[in-house]
Amino acid sequence: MATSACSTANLQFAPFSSALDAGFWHKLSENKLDVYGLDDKPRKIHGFYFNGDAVGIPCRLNVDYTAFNEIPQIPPNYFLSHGILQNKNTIDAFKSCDKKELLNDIAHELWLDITSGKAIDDPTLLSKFLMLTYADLKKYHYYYWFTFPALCAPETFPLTKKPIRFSERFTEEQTNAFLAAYTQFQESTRGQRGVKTGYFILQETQTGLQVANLKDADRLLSDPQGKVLFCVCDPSTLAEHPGWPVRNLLTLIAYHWADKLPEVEIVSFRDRISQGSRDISHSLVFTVQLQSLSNLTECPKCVGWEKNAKGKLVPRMVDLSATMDPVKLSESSVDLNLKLMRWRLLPELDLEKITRTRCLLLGAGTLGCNVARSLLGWGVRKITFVDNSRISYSNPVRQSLFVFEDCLHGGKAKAEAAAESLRRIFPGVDAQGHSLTIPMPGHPLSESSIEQTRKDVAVLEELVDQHDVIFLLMDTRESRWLPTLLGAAKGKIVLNAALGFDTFLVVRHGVKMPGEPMDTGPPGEAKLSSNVHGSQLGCYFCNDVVAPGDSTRDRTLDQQCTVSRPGMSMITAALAVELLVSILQHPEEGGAPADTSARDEHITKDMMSILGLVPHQIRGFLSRYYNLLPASRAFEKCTACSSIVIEHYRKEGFGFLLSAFNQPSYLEDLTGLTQLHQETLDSEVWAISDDDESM
Amino acid sequence: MVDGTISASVFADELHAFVELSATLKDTWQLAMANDSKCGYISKRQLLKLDQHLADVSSGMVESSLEVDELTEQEVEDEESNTIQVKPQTRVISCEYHVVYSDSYSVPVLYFNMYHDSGKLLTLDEIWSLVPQIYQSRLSQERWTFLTQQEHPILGRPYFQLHPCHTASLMKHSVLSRATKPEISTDTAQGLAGVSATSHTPSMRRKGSYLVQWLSSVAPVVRLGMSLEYGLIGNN
Ligand SMILES: [Zn+2]
Repeated sequence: MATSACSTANLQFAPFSSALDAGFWHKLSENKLDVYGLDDKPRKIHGFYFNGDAVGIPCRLNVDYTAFNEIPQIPPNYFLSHGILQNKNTIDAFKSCDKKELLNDIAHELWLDITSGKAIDDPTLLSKFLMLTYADLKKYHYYYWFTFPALCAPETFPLTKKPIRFSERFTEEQTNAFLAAYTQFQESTRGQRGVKTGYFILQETQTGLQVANLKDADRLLSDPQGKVLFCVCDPSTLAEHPGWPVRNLLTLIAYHWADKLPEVEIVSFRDRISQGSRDISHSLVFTVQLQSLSNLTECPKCVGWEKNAKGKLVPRMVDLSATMDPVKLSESSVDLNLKLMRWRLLPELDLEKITRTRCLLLGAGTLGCNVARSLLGWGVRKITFVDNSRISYSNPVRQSLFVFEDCLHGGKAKAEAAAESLRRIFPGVDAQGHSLTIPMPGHPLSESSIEQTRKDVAVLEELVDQHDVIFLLMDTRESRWLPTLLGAAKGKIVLNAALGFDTFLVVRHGVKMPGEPMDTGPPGEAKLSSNVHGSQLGCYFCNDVVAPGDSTRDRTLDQQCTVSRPGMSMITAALAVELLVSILQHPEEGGAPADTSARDEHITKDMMSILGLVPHQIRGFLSRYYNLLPASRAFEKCTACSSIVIEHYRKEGFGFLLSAFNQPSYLEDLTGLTQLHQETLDSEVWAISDDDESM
Repeated sequence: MVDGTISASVFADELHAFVELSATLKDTWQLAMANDSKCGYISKRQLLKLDQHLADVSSGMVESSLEVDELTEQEVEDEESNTIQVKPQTRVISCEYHVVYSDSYSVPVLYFNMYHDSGKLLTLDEIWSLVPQIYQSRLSQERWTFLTQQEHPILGRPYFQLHPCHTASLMKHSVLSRATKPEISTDTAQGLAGVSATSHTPSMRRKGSYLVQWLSSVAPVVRLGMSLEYGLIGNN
């Protein structure tokens, strides 16, 4: 027997690397919130490792969502590792806690298990780990650092026989005998907990191979008939190096048996299933010289902190907000839901374009609430409300973003409350509310209110600039005038929805391209050439031959009264949003042409978006459950969108608006409508009542 | 059954049969019983080595669990000569596959997650990049099956799911065609992997063969290892 260690290589070990699953972090977060609170005392957890990985896979110590189970739940063929979780309450505590002391504590425990012989009875105690964590539950950032304690005693492990393969050391017959014995051994020793033993003894005799527990070592070592080999289930797949679990076993052997056993033969047992058959031939067998530790009384030095991916001894951090932050989860599942629609039905659907579209909703009443909900459904992320009223008791039953509590104490401001409600429904939305009065033409301003109106107009102009789409959802005709003008002047997509008792109107305003010559021609459907480009389409006011005046004055119903059939606003709001989506999916967007005849045979390909037609107007008649899709050209004398109005606004700005607000006939004179009146008798104008209660 | 669906109790029987078959083949499917679900589910773990080939398709996949810069290097003396310095080896992705019953579709559903060693899940795009090229092109054309991220019905955490809406028709075609056509079909509706097996009538089905057939057709899409012996043993 060789006793000299001269020129022999020392055995070196492959360290563990930690492998976590997302479930572990979920469970840790849950425990921190529900169980631990601020108590940061050490907690028992479990990990497990495997000795059957394919070549090239590092030694992994797995810690998953079962780690916190009282009874370890170890996957079949895996081996238990006893863990301590040290979860700190603050990042400072995580950083500043004494790492040496942490490692010392667990090293002492390990040393005690070894010297007391406890680890002989339960060899799983040789495999331990400590996990230092800090969970930032606001950001879903998890800081962690593992240590896999290994005692540095003996100081070196001189190899007297270098590692060879199991198949070189044993015959096939012996291999089969070993496997049979090993299988039976695992069956019989598997505790009530169902935990396998990763450390055992192989006794080689004339008659064959027997497998036994570590606690049989004394008896077997004194048996002259057989040779004792110590076996470790080895997670390493390296040809020269066994894994970490071998180290503490060698310390155990050196402490208890090295006096009798100056060198010991070790089997690094690797047990792999490959293509349905079991293979252990790549297990390693080697012999190391062991310096006896039986006189050692003090706990030896201990190592084990895990290095990071760059080989540095520092903690790691993982950002799990993408899969753990409920806000991000709701965002991604909303997106996925829409993508599902695209994948299944509409591969060309440009969802990102819809998501990017910034929508300004003027009016946060029944139409505003329902439009906002439909926009959320399509994945729109920026929604801004403008309204000047407060929520009253009659509102919540129809205005789907409000509840009873919103009406108390004088009622919350609608615009802000609607935005807040949207954020509660979907935290991923960027929703804002502005309480603002939109000035109306023909509603003269008192001297004292001019400054406030100037400010309000400035805010509205800025809001229009900041959004791509303006929804006109207010309850008076006149209040739609200014935003119609602003939308036309700034080339925005404007969608206008208005309700009567059982009729409704949804219009997309013509999108004026800057510098484009205005269309000339009479109002309405007079032109029979049926295809009208989107830039030539009319606005809400183009059909009018009277300027918007003070229509609220002669109202018989006040604003709280319900004059629309309750389902109307949902229908109308939904159509307005769907029309927007069709516009966005049309290659020309707002320029999408519409057909004045609305006859199928007139529909041409250029009129279609991938979602179908992009009508100019949808006029609905609920009494007959019937919709019409008329289209009309812009009117050169329109009081809201004609070139002359836009030019005056551009040149004179607020001064021009002030004239329109204060002088009842100003717009009619400017556009030439006054003159037209004298020439034309009242033509029959399809008028929609908008005496609804949408605000 | 004729329409390609199975009842929850048949599913439960299939699970048990399948797990037994898995044990015979030394595969590692495990049965898990859920507290509030009649039939439980089965699960399997698997490691995916990102070798050169895969590292290419997933080149954008850089694990974000890197060192924490603001945490200064800790005062830890841990160097010693008995530890080999492990060079950065092959990157490994952990995969976890679950077969759960869907009450609404009356078919089994495959839930799975793939994650880095930090526990960080791969994103949908990263998962797609791991789908073998042949299925990527086939799926983009046929669009009859797709990946979505859903809450696991039993564990309540996000998992990826192969959407079950075409499972029944896949299994219906398979069951019917197998009763009449013994040869391996090239029709993709027979199964993505083109896995087929010897002919027998549905009534003579062996327990577990529904799962075997379904799983072997979807497994390769998500790199779930499935020995061909399942088909051989399960159907004889
Ligand atoms: Zn107009």
